Amino acid sequence: MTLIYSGAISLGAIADEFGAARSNVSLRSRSSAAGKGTPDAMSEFYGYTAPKAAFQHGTTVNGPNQTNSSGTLVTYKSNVLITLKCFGGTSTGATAYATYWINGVGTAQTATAPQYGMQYASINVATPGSRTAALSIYPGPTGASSSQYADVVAS
Amino acid sequence: MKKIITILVASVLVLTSCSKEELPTPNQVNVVVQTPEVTPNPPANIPDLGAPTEAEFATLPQWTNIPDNVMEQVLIDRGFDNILDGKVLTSKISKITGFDSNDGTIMGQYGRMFERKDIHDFTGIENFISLQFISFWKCPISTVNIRNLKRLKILGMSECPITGTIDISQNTQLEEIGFQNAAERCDDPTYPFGKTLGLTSIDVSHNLKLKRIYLACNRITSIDVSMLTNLEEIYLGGSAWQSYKVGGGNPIQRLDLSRNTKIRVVNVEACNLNYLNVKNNGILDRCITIYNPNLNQILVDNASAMNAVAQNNPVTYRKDAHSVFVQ
Repeated sequence: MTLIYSGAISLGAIADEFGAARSNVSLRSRSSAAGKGTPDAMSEFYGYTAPKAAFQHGTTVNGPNQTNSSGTLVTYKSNVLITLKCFGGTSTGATAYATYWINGVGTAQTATAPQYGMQYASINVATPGSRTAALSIYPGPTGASSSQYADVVAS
Repeated sequence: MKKIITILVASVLVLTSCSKEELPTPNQVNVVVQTPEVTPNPPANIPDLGAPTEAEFATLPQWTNIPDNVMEQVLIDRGFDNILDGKVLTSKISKITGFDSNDGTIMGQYGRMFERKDIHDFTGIENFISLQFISFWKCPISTVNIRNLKRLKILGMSECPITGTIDISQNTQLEEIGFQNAAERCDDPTYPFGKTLGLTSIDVSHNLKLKRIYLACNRITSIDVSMLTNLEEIYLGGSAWQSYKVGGGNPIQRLDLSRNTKIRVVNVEACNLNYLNVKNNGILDRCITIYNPNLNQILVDNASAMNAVAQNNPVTYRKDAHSVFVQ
């Protein structure tokens, strides 16, 4: 996602680029998030692409959305197709009931998959069982907004 | 007798020249079948053009006429000219790229030097043959001849009083076109864009390198992007950031992005869609389809996954309640 290279840029468009809410948008906060110093100017954002969270090995967290579209937990189901999406990374090593992780930016794998937004992969949890622990995902860097974390979506 | 034979021959010719399908039938009913348009396979990608060769520079005249005084004054202010006499040495302007490669700034100051200037006539721009980036933002021009700017990668014409279309068929290196007007002013009766001004059509079929298309707040009724296999982002809708302002979208009824497998962002807010197909693009990063009262279905690869993503990303996914993801 990239902001237009010329013409007017609104604070709303900048907020969109960060995946942030459009209310109470502060240019300073967005400039800061973009690593830009003062003075702030809208023109700083011409052609700007917000970096996506780089998933990396770290503390395991629970996937936030382990429900199906009706909101039902799927951890006891069999033959569940789980779609994992994340920003700026790629998925590897997915097996049923095992920890599912995303390689962080900087690996050879992600170097070939540049910042073009979400990557996603599907795994089929084929074995019925009594898994109660949540699917684990390594989180993004500290400060990443919730929309930059991985979602686990079951169908 | 001769006259009769002539009439007979003419009648036979008329009858044989009309096929059966062309003949009208009594009480004929026009049936409109809503099927996706069949488009040919996209042509091969266009190779990158390097910098102009010495032979190309040699074809240019020694002097380039610049009849617009304001335009020439900009060139003087930037050090490309020194006398306001209606002309500039071509060698001074033909190597300007508009990007940072020769102006020392990532913001592309030379590509922006004409922005918001009262320039009515861009005669002379045709000899800026190295330009990769040019912005005409808020220049009072309804058209401009950019056919000779074959290296252009980014074209900005936001808030130019365009009344019809712009020919970009020769600009095959384009990666971004910005004809985006201010959607946040869509409810301002004094703001003409999207009402009486703005593109009514745009042909992008020769611009196979396009990655980003910004067209908010124009008057386009249809657009075919099926050949743009590199397209990542398309903004046809208004993006009024205050929710009570609804408008600014192009009055487009159908948008088929199923052949554009790299699409990450779709913004069709407040268009007039009744058909949207984003199949073959996986889960989008951003999908703004709100304020399309006739859009009942959005064709996607995985409806339940899209629903879940939309539910958890209300900022980047905004759609009407009646618009349902369907696979």
